[in-house]
Amino acid sequence: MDIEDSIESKKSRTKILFIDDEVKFKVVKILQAAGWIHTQLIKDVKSLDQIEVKESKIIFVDIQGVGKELDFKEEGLGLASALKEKYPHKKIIIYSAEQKGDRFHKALRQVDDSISKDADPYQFQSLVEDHA
Amino acid sequence: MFLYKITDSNGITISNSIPSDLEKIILEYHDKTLKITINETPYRFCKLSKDGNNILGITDNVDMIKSAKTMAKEMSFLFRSIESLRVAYLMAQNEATIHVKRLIHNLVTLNAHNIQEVYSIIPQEIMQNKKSGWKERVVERVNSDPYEASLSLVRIAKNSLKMKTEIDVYNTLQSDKPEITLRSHEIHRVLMNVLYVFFPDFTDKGVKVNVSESTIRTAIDYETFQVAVYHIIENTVKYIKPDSPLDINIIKNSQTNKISITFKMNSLSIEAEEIDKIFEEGYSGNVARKCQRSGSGIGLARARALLKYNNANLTIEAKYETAKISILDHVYQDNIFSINFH
Repeated sequence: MDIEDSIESKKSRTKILFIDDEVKFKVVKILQAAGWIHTQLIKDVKSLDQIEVKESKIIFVDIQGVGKELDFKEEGLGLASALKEKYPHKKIIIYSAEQKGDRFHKALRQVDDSISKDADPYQFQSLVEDHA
Repeated sequence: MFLYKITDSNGITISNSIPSDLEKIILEYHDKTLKITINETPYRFCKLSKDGNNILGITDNVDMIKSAKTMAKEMSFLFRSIESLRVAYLMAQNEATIHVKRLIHNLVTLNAHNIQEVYSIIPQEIMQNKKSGWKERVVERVNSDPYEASLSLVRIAKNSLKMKTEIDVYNTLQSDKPEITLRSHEIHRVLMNVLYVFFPDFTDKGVKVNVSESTIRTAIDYETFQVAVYHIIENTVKYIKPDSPLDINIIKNSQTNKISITFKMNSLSIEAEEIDKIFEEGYSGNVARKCQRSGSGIGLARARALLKYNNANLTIEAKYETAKISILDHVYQDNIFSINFH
């Protein structure tokens, strides 16, 4: 009962941000429907101080196609590292369609977690529960 | 005939023209070089090693059969080529790896979309309920938003077709010519099968699609033709002006009997010098790039190549005189894409 209450209360107050150039990525809708009502998606980050970033506790970063506005050489990986450096208390999770390779491993040391883009909703939800 | 196999000091075979059954015969002998007869034909084989690199050679050349020294001298030249052969091998391997990685990446992305389409309508939790009646629960979810459910199905169909295009790209990197089976198909029907998966995209953009009624048939390879049309329609959806029509006509010239399919639209301007370039792989039009709508630039190149196998070409008629600045300063003009059968 206590654990459930705790998760329910986390759902109502945890802000989750997806940074993904694919605006129709439905996992946002799925998480909202599961009760993580403060989940939103932005295409890219214009400033590390922008409000969506500042407010969010958990930030999912696609490793491809983002990080361009801030000119990161390694795109999403660069952005994820920069976010973790600036906000060490936030949970930064990288996700991607890339199979695990060297690049992925380097960034893994810096961020909090990683997940494959084609993970099912249960996996996304588990990850969010772990880090909320 | 002179066949050889080169294995470098790391044990990697960097070049091999000896068939495996022939290699098996040679390896049964422990000699470094020997005259042998296979199916009544004389050969000489020779095994050489240098700095950990191994070369195995076999020949029916008369001079080399006569003299082991001559054969060894011919083969020693190959040792000088090992480094450049190794580099070529590694480059080819690297390129193959890149292509596989790209295919997997793109299929994973499409798989991700499909997974989410399904579970956004019928969450996984529904099936976790141990009580019977899963059918009723599923029906209830679908009925709660049947329009979204049907859109999801269409999107899944689109992703499935998109997977075919990805596999097509990968296959061409293995061998240029795809498997082609030409069969008679009603063009209108084939076009509609592709347009089907794009209707949500057209609706989102306010584009009305008009396809002329037609019973004209022609011989095409369904799979490759579908992929080609997919690329053309995907390109159209991306660049067509919102809230404008797309007119598709299927025409048979009464004199030549030649068939054409025309796609008439008002879409992002293509500059004059770009008309041929946009069919080149990797090239996206200047205006498209300025409007940040360019893609990988591969679609039209593939469409043209695949249509060639279907005895058709792909052309663009760009009507510059109709160019106008519109929404967000984007320049739109009338463009007509045509598939012309020979």
